[in-house]
Amino acid sequence: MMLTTKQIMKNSEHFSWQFTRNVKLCLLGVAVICSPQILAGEPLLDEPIKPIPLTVDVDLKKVALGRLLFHEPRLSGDNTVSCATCHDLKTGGVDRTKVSIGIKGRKGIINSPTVYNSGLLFRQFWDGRAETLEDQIDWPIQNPIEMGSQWPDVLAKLYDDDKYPGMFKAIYDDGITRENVKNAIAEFERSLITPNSRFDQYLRGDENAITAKEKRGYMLFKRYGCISCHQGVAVGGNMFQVFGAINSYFKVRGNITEADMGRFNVTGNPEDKHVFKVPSLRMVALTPPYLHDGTAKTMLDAEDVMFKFQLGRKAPKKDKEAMVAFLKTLVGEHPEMKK
Amino acid sequence: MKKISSIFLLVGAIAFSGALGFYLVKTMPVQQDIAFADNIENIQKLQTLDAAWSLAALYTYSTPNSDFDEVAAYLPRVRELRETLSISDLATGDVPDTLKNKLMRFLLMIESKEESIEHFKSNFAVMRNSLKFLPLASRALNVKLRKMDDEKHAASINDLYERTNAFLQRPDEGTRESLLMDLNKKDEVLMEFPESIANPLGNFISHARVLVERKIQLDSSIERVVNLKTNKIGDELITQYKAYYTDALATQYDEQFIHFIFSLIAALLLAIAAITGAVMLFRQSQEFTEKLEQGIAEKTEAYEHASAEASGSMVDKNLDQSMEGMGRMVATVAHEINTPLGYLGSNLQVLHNGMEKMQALMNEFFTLKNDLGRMDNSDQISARIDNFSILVQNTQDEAMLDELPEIVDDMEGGIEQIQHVIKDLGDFSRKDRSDEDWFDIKQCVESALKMAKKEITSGTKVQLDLKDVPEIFGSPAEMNQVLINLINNAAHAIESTGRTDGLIKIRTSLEKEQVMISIMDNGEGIDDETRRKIFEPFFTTKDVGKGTGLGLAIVRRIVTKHGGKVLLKSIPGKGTNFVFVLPVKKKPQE
Ligand code: HEC
Ligand code: HEC
Repeated sequence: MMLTTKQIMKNSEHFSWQFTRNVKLCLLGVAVICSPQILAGEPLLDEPIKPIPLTVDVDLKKVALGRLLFHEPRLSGDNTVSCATCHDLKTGGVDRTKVSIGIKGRKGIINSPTVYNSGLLFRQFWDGRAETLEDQIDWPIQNPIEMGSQWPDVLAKLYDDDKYPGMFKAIYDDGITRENVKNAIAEFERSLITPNSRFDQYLRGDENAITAKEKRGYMLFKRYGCISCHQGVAVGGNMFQVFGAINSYFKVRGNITEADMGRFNVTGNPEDKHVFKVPSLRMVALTPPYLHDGTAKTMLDAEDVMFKFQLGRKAPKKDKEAMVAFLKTLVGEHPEMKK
Repeated sequence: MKKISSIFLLVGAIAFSGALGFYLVKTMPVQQDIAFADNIENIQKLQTLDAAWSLAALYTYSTPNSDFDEVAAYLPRVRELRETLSISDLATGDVPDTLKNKLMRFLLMIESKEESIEHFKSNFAVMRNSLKFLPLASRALNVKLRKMDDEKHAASINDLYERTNAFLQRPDEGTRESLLMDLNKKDEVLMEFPESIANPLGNFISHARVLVERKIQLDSSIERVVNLKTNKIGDELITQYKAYYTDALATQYDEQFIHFIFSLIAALLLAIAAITGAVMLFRQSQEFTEKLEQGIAEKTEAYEHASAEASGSMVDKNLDQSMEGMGRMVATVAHEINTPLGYLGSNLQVLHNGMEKMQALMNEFFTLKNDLGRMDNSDQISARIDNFSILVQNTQDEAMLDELPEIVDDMEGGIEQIQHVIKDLGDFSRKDRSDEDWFDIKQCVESALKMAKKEITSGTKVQLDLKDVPEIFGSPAEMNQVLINLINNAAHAIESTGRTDGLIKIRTSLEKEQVMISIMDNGEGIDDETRRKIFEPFFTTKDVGKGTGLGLAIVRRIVTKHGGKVLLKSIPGKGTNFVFVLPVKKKPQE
């Protein structure tokens, strides 16, 4: 019975892909034509990494409003910081600093993850404390070291604006409310998927979309066991793991901060000490530095850490480089990246 | 006079309808009906999702190359329903505390399921890697240690490796503690080894420790995922909620009726001068009462309809039951297959490495051959040859050439093991289950025993006394199932006494033209009351998940179908003897 379900899933995936292959991906009113590939082979459907869907079902009006809000500094206490300050969409959805800087130059405590593909993650934040994109937004807005604001102030500023009241009214019956602001931003974030990476093209059957070295990198990524944790459509973002699954990372790094406690801060369960959401590696090539503490400057550095602490084994440099080459093929397309 | 009376009439009517309207609005049953139906539906949806979620997790567990996307995709749907219910009027409204508490328990259970699923995912992902890596690490260490003539440590690594494997096959707390202690001891003396040993040894210990530490966690998280009694609590909740609702509905209408009478009296008093009008209104009100009664009847009917659907009873339960069975089977099979697959994977990796190194060596050889042809200085030549032999030596070590035969042997063993499992599974679930033929009951007993082996605790002995009996005509596959069920029951009966001198005796003999098969155990026995119900479908004394409650019903069905009979003797506390007899038929001459 289960086999047949799987079979059906396969078939429908195949079908929907063929169907959408040449369809325009329409986000933010910008049309991108997904390069129609000439198929060399059958799609690879049994791989532990799945291609990102080429289209996403979002409300374009909300996306447009959410996009404005995402770039709106008035969401912060002193009107200087917007979401985009730390999640610059032109630089992979991150600020490329070790830890983020909020209003009045206040230094954060943790590295900022990308907002690209955040709609594909099973929970939000390193420790998974927000269950939805909507919930997530309360934190940056109210956090004194990020945007340091209060919802009543935010709503008041939006009311005083020329365009917002009308835009909200056109979408939401109750106009500008906290829930609606969150919903619009979240809808914008859901539109931030990055399909059609070279690796996805490979998965969809174009054997020449990636080079021999990159293929070898993928083979190694599976063989060494990275795939056990970084897997699925987002190449991560679907489970929690102890950081230090095999050997203790924090014993070696020392100087343990509150942020290092990970999910323990959420559940208070000792088993959750140093447990983090496995990050998505989809945009990893664009988002240095790495790890929640931002200590790994390059992808190779991050791989070293992974080998030592998450896998407890060694690999020759050649293999690690091939895997970096593979990771680079995971970056897909989105109109915002090119702006 | 006429005018006055019509004013009275008017005032009375207004007062009357005002009072009436007030009470009607106040008691408004319609909205509650919708809320009730919604709540029931949401509870049921949550139950269904919950069951499907378990299946998805098990599917991941038993499928190579699987990822957790599907399992994770349940999260938002489950969460949404959980939240809807937690703010519904069943949680916050004017309902009895027992009902609220039941709902809370149900929701908390679902929440704890989320947690179990997370733990399952995390543990499984890590163990997958370590299972693959451990054999590799142990072998590499062995080669290195032997090369240094350190047989003692090589043997101790081997011992740790074997014990870890044994533990993974049959995990228990005692072994776990002693194994962890020994691993820690090894970890403490790591510094005494040269770095070339200390590093791989450290890795070996880390992986073994991870496997040992996480095995029981993994098993218990799977156990919790599969066996959490959400469905049962959900059913109880639904039943109680419905009972309450029917009551409430009845009292509500009662109250409404009393209010109605009150307002009637008030109206009568007020409109005393307008009796005619009141009488008229009274007529209307009679109509209303009728409507009310009709309303109650309709509600009750709708409710009964809903309850039939809701307890979705048989359907859902069947799904649940077969899921448990399937879940356990999947878990067992996955376990049996994953371990050899682990060897196979890591051994292949060794082979792969070896091949790469050999290839490099061959390339070097051809270069050397080429160069030698062009050299005449014998010192130069012998230097090159020396270099080459060192390379050969190194390759031999690095490529673990000495180990290759053993590695290949291992792989063959692994493949055999998988073949066995698959064959058993095939025997078990053959499409032609009910195909009939002549078969030997002895063989049937032996194969059933093999398949039930996992359920028999290690202290329990199995005694066979299988006399030659004539062949039986019937379905060997079904008979197999009968035997497996009976052996499993015997094993569980022994397990629940916790005794370490368990005994299962299986006998076959010919008695009065009938083949008799007897399965005896010295387990907990069966009391009279249980005995009366034991052959009923879905009756089970075991914890949910331990048994489908179908086992003995199936036994009886199959044996009866074969023209036989099942007999049961049991002394509580001492043991049980299940006997079944099958008629001997004349075998047609070939
Ligand atoms: C001061 C810098 C800063 C600002 C401003 C900021 N963020 Fe973030 N963002 C971060 C950091 C740091 C994290 C990681 C925090 C953690 O996991 O504890 C994060 C995490 C996230 C995540 C979770 C991604 C994941 O992989 O888990 C999302 C989504 C997100 N931010 C969206 C937003 C939105 C929307 C806004 C504007 C309302 C915003 N951020 C404003 C720094 C910032
Ligand atoms: C046991 C699970 C596990 C395994 C196996 C694993 N990772 Fe990770 N990976 C994680 C976790 C958890 C993090 C986040 C660590 C943190 O808190 O900073 C991470 C982070 C990363 C990052 C940094 C991402 C970022 O945006 O900061 C990279 C790159 C990475 N892993 C690559 C790999 C590679 C390559 C492998 C295989 C060699 C691998 N991982 C194996 C769990 C794992």
